[in-house]
Amino acid sequence: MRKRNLPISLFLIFMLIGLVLAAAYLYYEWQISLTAATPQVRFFKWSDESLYNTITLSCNVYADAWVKDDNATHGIKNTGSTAKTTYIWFESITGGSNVANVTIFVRNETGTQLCYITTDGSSNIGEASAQSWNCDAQGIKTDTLKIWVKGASAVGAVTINLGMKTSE
Amino acid sequence: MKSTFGNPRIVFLLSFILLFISINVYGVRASPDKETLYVNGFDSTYTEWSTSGISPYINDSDDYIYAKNGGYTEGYFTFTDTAHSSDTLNSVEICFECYQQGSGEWFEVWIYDGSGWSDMGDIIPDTSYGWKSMDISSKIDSWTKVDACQLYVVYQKAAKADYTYVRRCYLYVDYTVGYNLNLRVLDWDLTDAIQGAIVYKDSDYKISDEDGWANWTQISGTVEIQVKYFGYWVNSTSLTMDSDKTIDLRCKLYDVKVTVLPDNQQGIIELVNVTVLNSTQNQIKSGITDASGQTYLTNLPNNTLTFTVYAKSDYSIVIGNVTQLITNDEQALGITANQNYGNTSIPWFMTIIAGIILTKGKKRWWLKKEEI
Repeated sequence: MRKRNLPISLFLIFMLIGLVLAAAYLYYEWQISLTAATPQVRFFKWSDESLYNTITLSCNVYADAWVKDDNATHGIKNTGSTAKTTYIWFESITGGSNVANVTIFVRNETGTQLCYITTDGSSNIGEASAQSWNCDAQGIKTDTLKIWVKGASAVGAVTINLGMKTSE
Repeated sequence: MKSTFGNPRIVFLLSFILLFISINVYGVRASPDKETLYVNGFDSTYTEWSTSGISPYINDSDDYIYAKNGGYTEGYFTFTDTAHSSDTLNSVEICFECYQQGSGEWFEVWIYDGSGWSDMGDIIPDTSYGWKSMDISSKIDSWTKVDACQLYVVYQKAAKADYTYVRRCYLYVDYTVGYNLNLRVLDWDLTDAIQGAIVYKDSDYKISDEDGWANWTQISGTVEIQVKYFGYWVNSTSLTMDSDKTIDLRCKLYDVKVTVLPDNQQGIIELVNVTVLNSTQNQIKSGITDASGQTYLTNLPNNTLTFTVYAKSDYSIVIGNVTQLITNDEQALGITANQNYGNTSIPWFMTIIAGIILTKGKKRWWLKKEEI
């Protein structure tokens, strides 16, 4: 039977104890936090002019009829000093059979259409179908959103998750 | 002494006065509700009576016809046409100026009304010239028949008789002066002619045609005009008919711009049907909302109406229903579709870079991209 070298064994034990103490020190003495970098392009709420990283829009849907909201409650604002290529896409849809069409338009402040994404409730889902536009560093300017939803012949609850990101 | 008529100035003045009087006398119409239509023609179909003078013999007092043999017939006589077709015909009499020399004589009066002959009865003359009349309204009951009217007479006698003379004959027409009343039903802004409105003239009524017209003839006096549209009174007017009148009836029929809104008031709804019903559920008007969520419903009665909004391709699903008093033209009405709809929730995430920050050591290790 092979015998272990006692000094080496003690060294390893002390090393282990040292690592535990170091971890304990970090845990108790350092402030570790999970945080996020504030993005340059954000959602802008028209009513109170506040900025958000996450929003939830809502829309009623009626059978075979379009609900057209040409000025949604939120816009998109580039708060930085450089333009950003910005991507949007339908991340997922639940209850997609209740809609015949969902189209999201992005327009600049003069009404020029910059980008749009559209789905019939099952197609064009996922980041691979993202569309983009160049979101200018506009200062006080904000891109507006149009949300058009056409209901299927029978309607019900729908949840449409949207994604947005900017270039690095 | 110089005669008054020898003075040129006085002659001129008197001439002027006489001219003035004659003009005014000429301008005064005879009784506006009576007319005499004298015999003006004789076609010699029957010539068994003896005649004196110039045909048609019984149109003036210089000429005459006479007979003494029973069954003798004379005709056909025609009468002057009338010029009162716009007036209301009340009654028609036929009058003869005649006499019989003996006794027990009479003549039958036969009248043609444009489609056939009828024995209207007998005239028994007096023993000296006098007027005898007979009501023929039962047969001659329209201006068309007045104009078509013809006459022949058949002499009849008892055993002992002599000549019967007839020297004048006319139709005596009693009528009420009337005028043409042409009413056109229009909406409040006087742009649309309204078809299908019930236009009352007192208790009489007509339905307005495709150009909005409801017309009457032979109207006189004061008349009350009222217009009813889909059960609602939309005009009331009083008219004095003293001439022909053509009148636009401006009715309380208003145009309404309807906007259909979702229940959450975010945006508008396109491609839905808005139908307006009256109190008995009859459809007055309907329209489909456009890209602005609007439909323009014209000529709605000034009343409380029911607006129902339908969705689906066959507009079979009610998504909104309101009652609204329509009070003025170009009224704007918003309807909230608060029935039979679904809710769409749209969560939207911004993808950002996340990391761990050791704030005391001012060191940062980027870990990965993830959604938060």
